[in-house]
Amino acid sequence: MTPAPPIFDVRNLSVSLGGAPILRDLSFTLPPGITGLIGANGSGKTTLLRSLAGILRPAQGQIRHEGQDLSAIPPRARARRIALLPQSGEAPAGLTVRDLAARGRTPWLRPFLPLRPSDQQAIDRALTATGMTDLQHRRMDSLSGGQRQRAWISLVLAQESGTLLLDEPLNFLDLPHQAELVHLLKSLAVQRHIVIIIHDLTLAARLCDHVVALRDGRLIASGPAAEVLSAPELERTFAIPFTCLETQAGAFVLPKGL
Amino acid sequence: MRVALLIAVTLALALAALAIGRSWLAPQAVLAALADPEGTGRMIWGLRMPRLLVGLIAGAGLGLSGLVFQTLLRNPLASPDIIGITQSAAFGAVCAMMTGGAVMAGAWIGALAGTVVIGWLAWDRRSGISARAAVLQGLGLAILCSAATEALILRASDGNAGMAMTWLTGTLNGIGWPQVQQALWLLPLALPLLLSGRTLDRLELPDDLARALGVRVPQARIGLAALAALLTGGVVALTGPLGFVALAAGPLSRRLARGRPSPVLAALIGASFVTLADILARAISPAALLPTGLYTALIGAPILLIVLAAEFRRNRY
Repeated sequence: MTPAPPIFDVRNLSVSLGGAPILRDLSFTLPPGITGLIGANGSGKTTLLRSLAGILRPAQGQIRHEGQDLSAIPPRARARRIALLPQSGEAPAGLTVRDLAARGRTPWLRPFLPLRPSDQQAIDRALTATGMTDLQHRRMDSLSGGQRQRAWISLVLAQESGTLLLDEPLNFLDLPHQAELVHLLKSLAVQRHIVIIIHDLTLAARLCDHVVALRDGRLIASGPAAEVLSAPELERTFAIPFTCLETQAGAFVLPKGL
Repeated sequence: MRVALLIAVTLALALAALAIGRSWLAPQAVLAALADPEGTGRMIWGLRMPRLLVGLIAGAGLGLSGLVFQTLLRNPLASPDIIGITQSAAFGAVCAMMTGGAVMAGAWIGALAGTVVIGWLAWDRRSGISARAAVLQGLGLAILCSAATEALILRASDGNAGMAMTWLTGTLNGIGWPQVQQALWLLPLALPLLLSGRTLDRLELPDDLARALGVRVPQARIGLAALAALLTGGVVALTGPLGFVALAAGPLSRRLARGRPSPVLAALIGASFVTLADILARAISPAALLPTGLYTALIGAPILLIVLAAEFRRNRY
């Protein structure tokens, strides 16, 4: 069996924001499937995700997406291949769920022309996938946090890109909604590749095929989830000891002493 | 639908503007006069028509640039007359008046310089331009430019000073066909803004999301801001600063467009707004001819207060 081609191939990536170095000399490849991005606050996870989305210019190094140099792809073409959902955005005033999802069609629209039937169908599919069809005509500001998060995910699904980058989509969701979203992401991963920033390592162990660990903008580990979500690697990532339990009900990963 | 309705309102106001003045005409008489430019239509074609056309273009321009700045800065207060673009354009224009330079060029230079100064002051290396900083620092710039303009006028000769003072209140008095010709130069600036609805809409999404959707966010911001600043400057050069049009047209147009930015609606509202104000200016005091800017403020301010109060209650901003 030949190994599947990498979704992202990152070579010697360094990124600075406002003159301050954030990412230092990262090199790794991401296989197809779901990749979890882990690390403490300020370790550079969001900056890495924005770099993978092609919206930050690297100070050094190169990112290839499915074999193509990311910085050489024009913005619209890039947006058809890679979608990014930033952390907890605020929806523009007055939008309904369907209006918001429709914004995901932006890279597919012809200038000055309205949505085509194919666009409407893509929006329908996105709303079905997130279970938001019944709420599609509700205004965003009338929804609960979990519903709002699903509406935002509808937007990036309507974008119909092969790669989906999600910045902490599980934050601020209660446990049932987290479980629901994990199921949704798993079902989405059949057709798309997902990179997700995730803090709950037990959820990461169950959701992700591959995990990338960062600390202070440097790469600590990149490998299969079971290897990276192990006590020694996690201790190197977070600088505190971890307990990793393999049980019949799946893996449990927690800081030691909790 | 809403656009068609507003076009009808604007046309009706335009017809009224041609009919009303020192002598009132019946609608049929207006139409008859329009068909006869050399005879009975001489007054309408010579005086009222250029005044109307410049008013329409000025109002549309102010409405557009108001909506653009408010959208770019995500703040209903961030219209060019609040954040100092109008005032820096006026300062540039008065400088040109005093030195005998081209007023339009002076206003353009002033408007662009004001925009650059605000952008530079409100710029943060990590997070880009802060809307709140832009509004507050823009208020400062507006006060500074107004004071500088007054200082210039106080030092000027009586003739220059009188002309500049009248102009500073915002007026359509003394507008003729040469000004219409100048106003037509502004159409190439207005056209891209009229077509910018989708871009403005996407710029209201979180920045990273808009960029990931393929929008060239920094380029779009800079381009739209530059066009809107030049448009403001051009209007200021023609009519002086007509108060409250730019500030009121944006929120009013959003009200009609379910909260979305609609440049076409904003332009129509601005155009009908200035036309209405000028009708009032001529109907209420045909002899004294009070400046149109006084009436735009008199109508605009209460409408704006009502709309903003409603929007705040609904938590739109």
